[in-house]
Amino acid sequence: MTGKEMLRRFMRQRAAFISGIFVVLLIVVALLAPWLAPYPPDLPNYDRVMAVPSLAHWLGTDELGRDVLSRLMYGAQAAIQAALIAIIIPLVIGVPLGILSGYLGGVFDEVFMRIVDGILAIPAILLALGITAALGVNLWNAMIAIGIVFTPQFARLARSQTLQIRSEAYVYAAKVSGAGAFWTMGKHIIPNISPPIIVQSSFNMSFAILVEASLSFLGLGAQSPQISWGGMIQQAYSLMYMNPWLILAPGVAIMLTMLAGNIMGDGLRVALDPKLKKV
Amino acid sequence: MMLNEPLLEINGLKKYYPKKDGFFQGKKSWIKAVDGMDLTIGKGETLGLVGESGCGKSTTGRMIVGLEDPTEGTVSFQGNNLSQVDKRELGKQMQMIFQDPFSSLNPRMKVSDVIAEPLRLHKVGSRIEQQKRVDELLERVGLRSEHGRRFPAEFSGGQRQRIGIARAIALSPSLIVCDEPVSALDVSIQAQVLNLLKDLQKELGVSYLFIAHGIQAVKYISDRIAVMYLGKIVEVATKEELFSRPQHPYTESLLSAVPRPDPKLRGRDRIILKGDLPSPENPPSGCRFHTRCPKVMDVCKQVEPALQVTREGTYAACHLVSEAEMKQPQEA
Repeated sequence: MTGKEMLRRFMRQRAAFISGIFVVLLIVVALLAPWLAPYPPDLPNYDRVMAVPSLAHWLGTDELGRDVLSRLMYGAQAAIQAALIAIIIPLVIGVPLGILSGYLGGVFDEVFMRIVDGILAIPAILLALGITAALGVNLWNAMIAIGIVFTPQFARLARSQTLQIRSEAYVYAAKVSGAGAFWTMGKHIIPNISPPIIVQSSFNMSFAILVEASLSFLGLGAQSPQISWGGMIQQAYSLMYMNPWLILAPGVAIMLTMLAGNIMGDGLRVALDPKLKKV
Repeated sequence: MMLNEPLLEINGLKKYYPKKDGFFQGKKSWIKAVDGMDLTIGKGETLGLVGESGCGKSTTGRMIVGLEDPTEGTVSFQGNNLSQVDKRELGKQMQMIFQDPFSSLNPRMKVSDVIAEPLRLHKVGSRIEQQKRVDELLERVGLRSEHGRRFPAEFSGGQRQRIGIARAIALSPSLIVCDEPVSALDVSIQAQVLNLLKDLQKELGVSYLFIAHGIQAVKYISDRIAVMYLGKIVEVATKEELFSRPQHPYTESLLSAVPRPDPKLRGRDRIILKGDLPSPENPPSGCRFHTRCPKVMDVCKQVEPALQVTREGTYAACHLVSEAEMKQPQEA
């Protein structure tokens, strides 16, 4: 299947396509926030404190009179930053080790998988708490912790997929022709195990955004002056009885982003799997 | 048929797989997939290797091409012991065609890349020369050169098998191990693929080890046929000899299982074997076939018959045969 074909298969699925557009827009907004945001995100305006949505402030203002829409746009930066940090660690460390483990087997596999089992037993938020306590409270440290927690999943996925591909006849054909480990892994294993890994990445990135929001809500993620959706919820939370809509904007942003990430993941699964013919 | 120079010689080949009885049990047992076999393949010859599933015929093929290391015994190719040869260089001389045309081609590689893989691995020619060779190969196996730009999923089973054949002949090897190359194909396609293999043999002088589970399947293509039972060769003979004068009771039973088109002959002389193939973990004592042999004698349960020459170019491992052969000279 060519890349073009995959794109066509993805676009044919309406929900996934719309989710994909949402995710692309989110990234564009986050990158262009300094130009797109109608107001500076931390500029207080004491004349318009907790204003309801209006033409001037589409999503209203918060308790210091800051524009909620602008803050939401900057908050997308933290969300995407978090998702990227959390996914790079498992992709760079977990996947290659998982492939090696599945390909080599033997003692390396045995030892590595036991380590992975050990990491798998650690609750995500707890590890994040521990790492931020040790290294300092900021978004990077929190997301590195999440990345470590994600690593076993990716290592296991890469390993199980490798085990499956390793015994395909085309791998044997390459070996008969004299292919070594690098050739086999590069030409046969990696191209064939990447689709499920891409799909898993999509799910995990949206989960990472949720975890980032949770940690920021607890005060362990993004620190002021960095704006994050979790932090916005935390601020709005104390004023919930006076101004319930303040909590709504970041809450809906988190929800839509997660939803889009998950639907996109499902769409990618269908689009990238040549066995699921009917699209 | 007289054997001209042997291309491949197998001596006392064994492959045992360890079988774990669970994590905490230290006792290991062995699955004796191939348990001491001798075989020779001549230049330009097609040797059919038949036997039931699980008798070790595929394992034998895999050991020949170097996908598995023998537990014991040697495989010599053109006089060189394979355990002392660089396996990566072997691909120029030996190739393999696989049973399942769907798993034998990487679904994410273009057909031209699939066929060019052996050329690239051995750095044969420039990129342009490789492409030219791929086009030639595609046409040689009955496809068109523009098919190279497509992906394997766009082809039928028969076409895929042709692509697999093109890959196998890319480096002009002298031996191709065909592991049940047509058993996954429609009957109508089987003959086409077999004819292609025959034509290529005439053209390239390549030898085939043709593995199949039915004796009928190898009849068409083979010069000689080796019959395998539970990790051992029980009989080797030319195709004509084997079909007209089978010597081992197991061969007889295989031949009697071939369906006959004439309804009047149906069911006559059918030898139906009792029981299942014994486990290769714990093969029967003496002759391995004694548990199912219709002509079993006392000696079969204790003494293992050796594979010996019975007639010119014909080998069998059976006490009945050795007895008969011993009587003959006395009568003469």
